[in-house]
Amino acid sequence: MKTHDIDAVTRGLAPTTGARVSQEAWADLSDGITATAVETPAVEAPVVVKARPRLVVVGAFSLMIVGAVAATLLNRPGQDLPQALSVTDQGDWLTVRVVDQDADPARYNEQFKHLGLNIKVKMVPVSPSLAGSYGTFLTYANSEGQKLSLLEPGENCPATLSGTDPGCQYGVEVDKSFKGKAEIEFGRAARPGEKYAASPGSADAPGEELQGLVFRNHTVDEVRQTLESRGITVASYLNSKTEIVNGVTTAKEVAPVPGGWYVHDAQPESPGVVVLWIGPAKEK
Amino acid sequence: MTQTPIRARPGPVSEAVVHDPPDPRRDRFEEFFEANRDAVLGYLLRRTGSSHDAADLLADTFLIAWRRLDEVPGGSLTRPWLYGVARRVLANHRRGEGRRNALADRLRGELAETTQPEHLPGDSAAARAFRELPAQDQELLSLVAWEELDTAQIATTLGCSRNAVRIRLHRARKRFARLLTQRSPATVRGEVSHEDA
Repeated sequence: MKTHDIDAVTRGLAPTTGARVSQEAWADLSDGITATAVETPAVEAPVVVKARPRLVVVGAFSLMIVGAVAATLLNRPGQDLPQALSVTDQGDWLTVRVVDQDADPARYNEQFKHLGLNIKVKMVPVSPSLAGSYGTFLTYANSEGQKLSLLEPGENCPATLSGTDPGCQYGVEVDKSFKGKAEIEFGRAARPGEKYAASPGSADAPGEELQGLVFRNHTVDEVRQTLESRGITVASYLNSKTEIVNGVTTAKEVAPVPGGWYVHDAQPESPGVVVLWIGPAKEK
Repeated sequence: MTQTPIRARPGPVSEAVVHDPPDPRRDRFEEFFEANRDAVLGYLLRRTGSSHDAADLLADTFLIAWRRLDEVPGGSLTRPWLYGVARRVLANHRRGEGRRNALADRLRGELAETTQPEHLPGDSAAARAFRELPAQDQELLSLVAWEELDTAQIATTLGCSRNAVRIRLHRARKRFARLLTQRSPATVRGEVSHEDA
């Protein structure tokens, strides 16, 4: 099949968007944005991009657009293996797999260092549905050797191994010529009291603690009862109507909480704990 | 009442003072905002399926562009650079971070009124094949076909080398072709049913 045919098929699959926006709404947004201060510390996201001196323009924007890739990963191996990582030489690149999710990340880093690679691995606490299925990485600007990609369990494994084998769990492929610095985060099940580094937006997403629970547009009092019966506590009640404070979108905590307000959404916070977004009226 | 800054938001910032006299930074922002806002909105709408989310993410995207004005490349790379930011904002959103952005209130309201419910590619054989592709392939193919970016522009969006884009794109097209031809050609539209990949 020819390239342009393939692209034509893809083009035909573009979701239609019939958005119409008035000049006023655009101007409103533009004014709002430019009214915020420009020079701010970069605290945009958990994708940690540290402030570094800019070298050249190219370096500057590749610093910002870091690779953030989610991979689908399987459950932990739970094996007591001597090494935290398994490394396979593939010629031009290395396949590095995590064999022990509970190993001290320092051990991964030590192993990477040993290989001459400046790659840091962090295991971050994530919500139930993401445990074992969350991975991101970022590479820093002026890193050479772009090949760095996440591997799913079972991906590119020796023929006889599958995703359930300890030596074939999630990992990364990295070019031997990789000269820069990279950070990789894998998700592990959060322990009680640990705040999730990543979670779906809503606590009733599949696999999350409130899955199947009906709470949207029910009153705070009703939802509180339901949650109590499930042993879930509420960390805070935030007003769905957010405000801009000094250019930062800010949610106000509602206190005291009117029991007759409506719950609009619930967000996973940590094991057994959610944050409720509430408002005086039902949300459409 | 206490105030809790939402996660994944920029800030905090010092007092913003807006001056009306000539402001080249603002002029520059407004210029590329006007030239790219519809394209970025389209990008986000096609990938979120929600006009509410798209409005918030659009505001987040341009807020970052405003704050990193000095890093925004000019010419044909501005738009792919913005897609790159939007992509990252979207990834954070999918990870459950980010919430309503008050800057987008008005935009959100208008989009809710005028935007039809997202028409996602239906259940055609091609759509099913596309969904079976790895996310990375879907992303590349859609950047070509939906955003009409060339190799250099995609490299800017993804923050990787052109060569990497070429190789990955080649593989993505091959995988898609394979999936399409594995299915009954009759259910795939006529113009793609011949094979030479």
